[in-house]
Amino acid sequence: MIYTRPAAFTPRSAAAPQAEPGDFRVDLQERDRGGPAQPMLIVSGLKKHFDIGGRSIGGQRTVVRAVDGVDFTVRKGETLGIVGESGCGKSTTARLLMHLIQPDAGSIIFDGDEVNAVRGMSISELRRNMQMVFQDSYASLNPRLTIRESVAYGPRVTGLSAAQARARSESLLEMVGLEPSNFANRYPHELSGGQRQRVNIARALAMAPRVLILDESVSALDKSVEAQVLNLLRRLKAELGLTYIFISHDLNVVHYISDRVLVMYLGQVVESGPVDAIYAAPRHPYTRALLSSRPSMDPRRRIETAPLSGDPPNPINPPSGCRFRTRCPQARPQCGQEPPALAPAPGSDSHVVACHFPLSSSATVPSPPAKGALQ
Amino acid sequence: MTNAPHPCATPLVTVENLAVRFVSSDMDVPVVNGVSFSLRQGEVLCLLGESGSGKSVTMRALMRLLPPTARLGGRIEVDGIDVINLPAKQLSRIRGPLISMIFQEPLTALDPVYTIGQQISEAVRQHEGVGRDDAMRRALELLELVQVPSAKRRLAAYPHELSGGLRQRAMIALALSCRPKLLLADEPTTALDATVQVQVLLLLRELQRELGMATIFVTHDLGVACEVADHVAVMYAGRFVETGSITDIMDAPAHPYTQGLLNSTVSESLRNQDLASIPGAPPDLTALPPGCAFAPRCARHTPACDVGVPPLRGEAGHQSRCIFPPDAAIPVAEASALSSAA
Repeated sequence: MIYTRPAAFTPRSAAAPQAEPGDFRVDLQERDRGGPAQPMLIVSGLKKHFDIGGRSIGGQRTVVRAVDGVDFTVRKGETLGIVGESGCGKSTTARLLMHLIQPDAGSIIFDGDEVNAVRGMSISELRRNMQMVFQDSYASLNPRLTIRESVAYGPRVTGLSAAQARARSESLLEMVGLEPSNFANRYPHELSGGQRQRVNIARALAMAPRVLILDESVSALDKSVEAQVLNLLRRLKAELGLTYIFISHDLNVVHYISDRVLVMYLGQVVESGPVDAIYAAPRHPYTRALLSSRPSMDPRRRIETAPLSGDPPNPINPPSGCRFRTRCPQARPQCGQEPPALAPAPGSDSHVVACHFPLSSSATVPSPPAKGALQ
Repeated sequence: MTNAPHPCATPLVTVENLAVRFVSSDMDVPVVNGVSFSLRQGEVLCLLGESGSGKSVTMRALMRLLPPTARLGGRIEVDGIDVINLPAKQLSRIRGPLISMIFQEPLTALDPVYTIGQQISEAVRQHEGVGRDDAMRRALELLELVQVPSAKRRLAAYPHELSGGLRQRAMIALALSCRPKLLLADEPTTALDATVQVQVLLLLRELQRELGMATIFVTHDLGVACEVADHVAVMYAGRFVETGSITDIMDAPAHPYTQGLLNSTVSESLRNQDLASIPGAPPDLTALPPGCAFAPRCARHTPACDVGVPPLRGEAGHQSRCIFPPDAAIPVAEASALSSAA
């Protein structure tokens, strides 16, 4: 069952080019199982604790609570941005979704089918539907394969003939803006960072996935190249009807590309909702601090006081109750006693927040970045 | 002669026509091609550029922190000392007491087998010739200066025991330990999280103001430059393509490359619209174009651009290396934004 050919590679519409042997375009209607209202992904209670060997005084194993009960849904065709500081569990969440590491607990439902469950979707089937692009464009390519071979590898081992896989690889390279006659025979070290990241995107698309997880995929690129890759991602999403999970620490990039945003802190979701609602009026004090930490982009309105002091605490022994309370400017005794649950923010149902004392919707972020200087 | 009565009138740093090439048996790569600037006591210069533009190499040349394959040309004078021709044995005279540096990655820049206190006090003892206890006391003062909480306890901590933000603060303390006149900061906040980055930026700004050091800041992030810089030099292919005050650069960028950088910076006004990215990639340094190095990616490229490297032109405070006058450049930048959005 593992190496069956991926489902139906037929052109999407009459306008699409004729079906060639290497065509990777997918009939999304045909592969859509649950209908448009069924979320693409429903994640609930996702948990991963890494055992780091030691034992605490009570004899309990020391664990890093990297992801500690994360729930969210991703709708079809949307881009979900995940933001948070290093160590908040955003990359671990991505890896758990792909089953690159096994979750300790929790369920993932992909378009109505539970992953890795009896009568559900197998992991290999999941990976054919969901692919990932990593941050380090060089480390994620095999240095001994030409980029044509790298992109053709997945299709080849899942059932296409060598010629078909090669043709698909070339049409994908063309699609991401790398002319095959010029680039297909090159090795990764012969490409620039931006070009390598395009190859990684092509390779992820080679399995004709429906969901793409982009884990800090543009973070290592220079600004001018980052803009090119972001444009490419937007174009591909529209052309192929993809759903993105976009993980980044860059709040401006997430604002630009996402439809909804998930804010994580120490392995938990603290706030999620539509991107405009979160950026205009964050309800969680952490989100608000994170947003006001962005440089002002205006030398006349520099940031005068840091919104937060100190670093995020160690995820080995997170604070009791609300995990943010040790850095929260408005922590009260109740915050240390019970952890707040994710609940709809007052006056809005799509916007959820995990705080006992959420900010009101009129509290805006003090200094949103100015628009580009030329606008 | 450099100890003039008005230290503010004479520049602390003068760099003229600095050139750096990396030469090996099979390669000769010109990385910095004629950089000139001067910096007075108490000023903050930001070198802004993408990877490979030569910004870090320029800065390391000021301290002669380059590998033996580097060949330096031109003139660097810091506080009256000719840095390029300084004998290697005398380098310790300038490294520390005159110029010191903060690196991007504190974990690799600090020594993992010595405590923070040992590392700072060693530098103090070497350069100021004080005893062990005095040096340790000074290390404690320095940690307090950089606002490390419970500084006494952190003196005995090893670098791996500290969080990223504290480690960067410890490195700043180390850099300040010999009271440098010139502080070099090479992307000091790039590896930090957003909430910590702003803390470290504010700290550096405050220290720079308090201690009156001249500071050169290398960054690729326009937002960081806006927070700290007085002056900005935008680098491309080893040359300054635009220099000016930070407000000049943000309000009226003159060079097409600077305009492209500003346009491709993601901001909320651009949602659901393509970003105006700069096409192509930075040039191969071993085969630079004969004229303007940015010409192959520039929307306003004309044959005149390929004849010789354009000089920096404009008024003294705000100069750009483009043959077109700056005011004519802005409509074209908008046109290119429109065409790429179409």
